[in-house]
Amino acid sequence: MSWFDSLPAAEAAVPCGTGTHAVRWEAGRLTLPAHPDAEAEMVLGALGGDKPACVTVAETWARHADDLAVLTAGPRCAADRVDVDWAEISELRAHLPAGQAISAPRPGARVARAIQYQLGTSGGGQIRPAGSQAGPPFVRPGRPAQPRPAAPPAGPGMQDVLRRQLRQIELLELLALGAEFQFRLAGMVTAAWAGPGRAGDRASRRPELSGVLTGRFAPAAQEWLGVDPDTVTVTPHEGPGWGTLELSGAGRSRRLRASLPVGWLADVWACGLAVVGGHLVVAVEEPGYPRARVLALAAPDAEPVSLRVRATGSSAGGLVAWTL
Amino acid sequence: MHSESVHGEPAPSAGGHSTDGHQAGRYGERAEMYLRLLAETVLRTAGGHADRLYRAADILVAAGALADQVAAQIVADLQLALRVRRRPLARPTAIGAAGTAPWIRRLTGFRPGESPPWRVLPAGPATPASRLMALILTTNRALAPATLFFPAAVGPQESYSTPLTRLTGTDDLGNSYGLGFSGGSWAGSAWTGTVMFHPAPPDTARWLAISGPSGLLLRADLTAVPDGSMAPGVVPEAVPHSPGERLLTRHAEAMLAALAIGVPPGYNRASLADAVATLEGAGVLSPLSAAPARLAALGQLLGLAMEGPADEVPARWTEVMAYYGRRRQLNPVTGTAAIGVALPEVDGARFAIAGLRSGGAGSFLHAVVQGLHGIPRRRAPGPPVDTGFSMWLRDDAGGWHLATVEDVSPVGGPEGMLRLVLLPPLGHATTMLTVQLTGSAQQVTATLPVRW
Repeated sequence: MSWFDSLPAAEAAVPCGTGTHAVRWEAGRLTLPAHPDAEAEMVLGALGGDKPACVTVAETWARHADDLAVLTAGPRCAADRVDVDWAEISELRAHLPAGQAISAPRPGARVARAIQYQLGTSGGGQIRPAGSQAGPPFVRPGRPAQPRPAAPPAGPGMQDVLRRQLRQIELLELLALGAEFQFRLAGMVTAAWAGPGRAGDRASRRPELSGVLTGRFAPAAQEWLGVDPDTVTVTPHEGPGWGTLELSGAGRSRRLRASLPVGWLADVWACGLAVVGGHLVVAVEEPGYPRARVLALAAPDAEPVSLRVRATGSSAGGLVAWTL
Repeated sequence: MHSESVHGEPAPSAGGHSTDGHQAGRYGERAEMYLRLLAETVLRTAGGHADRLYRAADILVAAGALADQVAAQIVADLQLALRVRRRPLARPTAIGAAGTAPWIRRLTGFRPGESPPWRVLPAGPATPASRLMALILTTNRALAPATLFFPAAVGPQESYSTPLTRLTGTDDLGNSYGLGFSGGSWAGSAWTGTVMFHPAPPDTARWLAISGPSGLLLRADLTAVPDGSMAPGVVPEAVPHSPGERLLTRHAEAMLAALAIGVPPGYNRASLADAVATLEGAGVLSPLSAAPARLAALGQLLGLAMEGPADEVPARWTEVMAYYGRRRQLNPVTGTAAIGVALPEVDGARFAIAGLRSGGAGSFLHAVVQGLHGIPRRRAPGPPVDTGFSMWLRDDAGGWHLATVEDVSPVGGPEGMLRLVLLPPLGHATTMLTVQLTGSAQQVTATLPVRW
């Protein structure tokens, strides 16, 4: 059983070459229906051939598989609309010095598929994939690529700046895939951080994970209890059990403090299960789509109960909707 | 939201910063969590403005509770999040809205505990031609803060650098050195500043000399003992106050310095309330702390629109206020004094106290420094710079003097030369100074002999 078992497949359109291609997410994997042999195209790209834009998107997706920055930028709830269009990204890439238009590696990233990148020294110390040629990955139909000035040699400081810029552009590309993909990407990242072998990593990034959890739990708590989301604090829960929940005070001084495992974000929140039928879902016992079994609270001081839930078949803001 | 007590919090380990910029200790974690949750609040609030987060980041970085790299990352994350929601970004312009230091990373590439130590050699007796304060040997040069007395006929006043450009640097082995001059000021025909010898002298050299057209001006003994490379018996101690209390204390000291210098204090009731709310919210200032009331009381005594109990004001603050409140102030003692002692690393910065110069313009402490946060290469006139440290000196008559940065001079390497003005100035030629240097997490107290 995997966290993504509670999610249906999703598709997004990506500008690729002179047209638009579908990118498909299904069962936790990204596939490219228009590029049945994507792996061969990656190899050709690495050898200097043209790499289709949607192949680049797939590589970027894999490269950010455990990048918490995805969560700091991405949506917190269905009502939180994150809007990036491809023209904006094309514009940003066009402002990079020539030779920078290909994705840069994220330092320390765990990449699902091993793709060797290098910090090139030929062509003026530019960041590029091994053996690749410069070229705009996203060319809007009817809009020719603009020639760009050649890049001067970049010093170490400039390389850092370019690396950060490229990383930000990559994040924007992933967000441009749309709301359904944004939640699925967030689920993938948090599932990577929730693994049993990463307790040390979680401990070292505790404040960041608290922000990520609080930012997503607070709107759910507001929907569930009507509490002011600014009075909600969530810290990462480690160890057995689903966590803890404590409501204190009354009126304006009402506070909700929770402790939830990081995996709650993947198993529950990213699948649209945070609040179902007036219950706060704290864990998923049997993931599935369109039916799942969850552990949920009717009230802050209640014991969690096991509930069967089913998808309504609709989605709100990219999140799957569920009912009891 | 974070109600854990800030009392009894263990101070972060020396330096307080890990290699990835995350502040060591619980204070750092609390401060980062507070700022990240504040970012979520800004993001969630329709029309929520990022300025609130920028101000909080300023305050927490200035308090030493949060590493500037972490704060910068949180700001960048929020800006990206606002951008993809088509929300206004606002600044950040020059960060320092709350009167705190700008975000300038450590100037120097100094690696606490790893950078090669300096050799600090004490000066010999004064001569009619010069008074050396100390000789500081760094990895690639020798620094000689000193007063050089030129013949009146040479007259520097109209042609500022001419007498200096005629000087030569040599050693007993016959080597010649390039000379540089930094942070100098003239009083009549006497020049006080730092002479830089480049390169560093070889180990076999016994002395360095500066000569001019009229002969030898200064000779510095390279075999001098005792070596003042480290003040004996002086070890850093944990600061018994929270980072929030330390920041508010530095704000008070900045207000005292502003009074002495004659510039606006730069604080008001609103900025104080903002700082206190942030520090308490981040768990780096106890709600029971007397520090906010102490600062407000000082502000009230200085005529600002603040209120606080006057008996909370420490005696040393009152001494400074009393001096500058007089109609007629005593003349400072005149002369140059040698000290020549290095202090142990404090909060990841190192200081070597070279000596003193005192005269009509005031009393100044000269110190070599490396690893300071937030300090510009050369400060503009105006309110004092917050270096993240407090320095107080006590003379041999028991008088307290606040030392604030008056000038920062580059000396050709990663080090900088600080000229700190003593407030009030020294009224007599003290033979002993007790230096109390306090950072956010660590402090040292050293009693140093002063030779005029």
